[in-house]
Amino acid sequence: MMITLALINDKVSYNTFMLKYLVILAAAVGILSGCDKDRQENTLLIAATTTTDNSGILDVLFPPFTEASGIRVRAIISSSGQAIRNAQNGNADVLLSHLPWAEEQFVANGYGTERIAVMYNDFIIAGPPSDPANIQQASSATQAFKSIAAATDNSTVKFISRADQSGTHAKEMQLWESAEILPDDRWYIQSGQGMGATLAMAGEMQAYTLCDRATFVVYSAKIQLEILYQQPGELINAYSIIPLNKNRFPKANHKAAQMLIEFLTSPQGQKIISGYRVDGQQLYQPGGPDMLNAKDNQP
Amino acid sequence: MTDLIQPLAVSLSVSISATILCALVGIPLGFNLSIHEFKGKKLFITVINTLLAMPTVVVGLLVYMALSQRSPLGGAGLLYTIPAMIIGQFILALPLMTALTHSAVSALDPAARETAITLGAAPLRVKLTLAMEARFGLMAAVAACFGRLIAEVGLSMIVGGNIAGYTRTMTTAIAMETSKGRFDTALILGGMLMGMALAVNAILQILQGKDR
Repeated sequence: MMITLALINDKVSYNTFMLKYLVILAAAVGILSGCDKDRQENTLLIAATTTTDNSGILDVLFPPFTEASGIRVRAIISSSGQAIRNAQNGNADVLLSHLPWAEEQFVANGYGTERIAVMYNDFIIAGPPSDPANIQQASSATQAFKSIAAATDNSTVKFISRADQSGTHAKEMQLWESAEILPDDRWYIQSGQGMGATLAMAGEMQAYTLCDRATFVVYSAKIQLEILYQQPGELINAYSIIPLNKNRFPKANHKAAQMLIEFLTSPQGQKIISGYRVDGQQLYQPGGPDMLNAKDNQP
Repeated sequence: MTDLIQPLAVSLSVSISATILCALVGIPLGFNLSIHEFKGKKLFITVINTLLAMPTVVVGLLVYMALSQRSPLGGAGLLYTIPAMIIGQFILALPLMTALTHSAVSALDPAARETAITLGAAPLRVKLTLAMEARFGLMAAVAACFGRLIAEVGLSMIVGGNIAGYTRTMTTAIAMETSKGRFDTALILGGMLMGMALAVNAILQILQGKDR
């Protein structure tokens, strides 16, 4: 390496030598950037959430879309809050999330154009099979949360929270609020991680946690938890895809985003969603529930 | 199987490219630092040594903010791409390469430099002679930088986005598999990564030539 450098720069003084280095460096960076021509028309950058990634639904939706349209999908997976933030910063072409109130704000503030319902399922409360807080008898999700908080007084009952600005976290906070309970550090553990990781933690600690049905079904074989409370009509988990404002984000690949939205809302796309099964269970309903509005999950 | 090979290819290409760029800039910088005196040299060295302790997530965050569409540099759409990861890793390891080169060259017997000058070598020739003398230290510097880069997660995750089939590296894949509870897969990926690192270092050793 040193010999090559000597051949190039034998008679030149040191300062000019350094200058040439920097020029070569800049050229290298320029070439590297140019090499990445892929990030053009036939690539779609989607900001999606951990729950959709954990459940595997994206793996059955994107390949058929790529086959049909020739557009490669690159998914940035993070919590809903992070995904929305990413989209706001202009670092994605389209947004898929399940945090209704934040999505409404996103659209109201002119970042996105509209929320389009893609699929929905429900949240469930998972916990240790022995159910020390006896939430199986609860009449509502709020009641279940009250039972959990009450049970922590005399036992080792714990609750694991996503605590990561996600759609799941938002729904959980809404329930604590309606139960008028301020969770205590003694039994309330904030994982700050995705649904899969949080579930694994809850399994290890034999604790309660709020989880979307899809992720739970995918992970249920690996963890020692059971669905202890479920009420599909009550704890709705609705996913929306949001195209971006063309004026605000001129560089985003709006054409490809539109194609993905059309695919997801088409009969073919909706059929893939309703046909997706894990362990024989349907994980998502296509379209949107009747109450796809901002009142849900408002903290 | 491609699921395991693809991240490996990404890890290697990003880290090797970044290491090469680091060597091209860091080694001359370290030389300069060692040989020349200038005002504030001690402060400069202290700053460089402090940068060695920068967490990869912090560097990743700074690069993310610099490349985000909102920032002046963001227009190029570099975020979540391979070139962005290479740039980020370059910034990450540059202090290390500079500090280790400085250390290797400073440790040389001053007589080597004086002899070369006395024999009439031009300034660049002097430096090349010193480089030959310090080659073991320099090779160690390159190996150390490569090691730091191939093993880092924070920057690759934030700047690359861990995109499946594109910017997913071995380390971000391991982090992801671990968070999903798939420990077996995570350990296999870890083993493959170490195997590759071993291969690269073996090649570096061979290039270094015989022991003195």
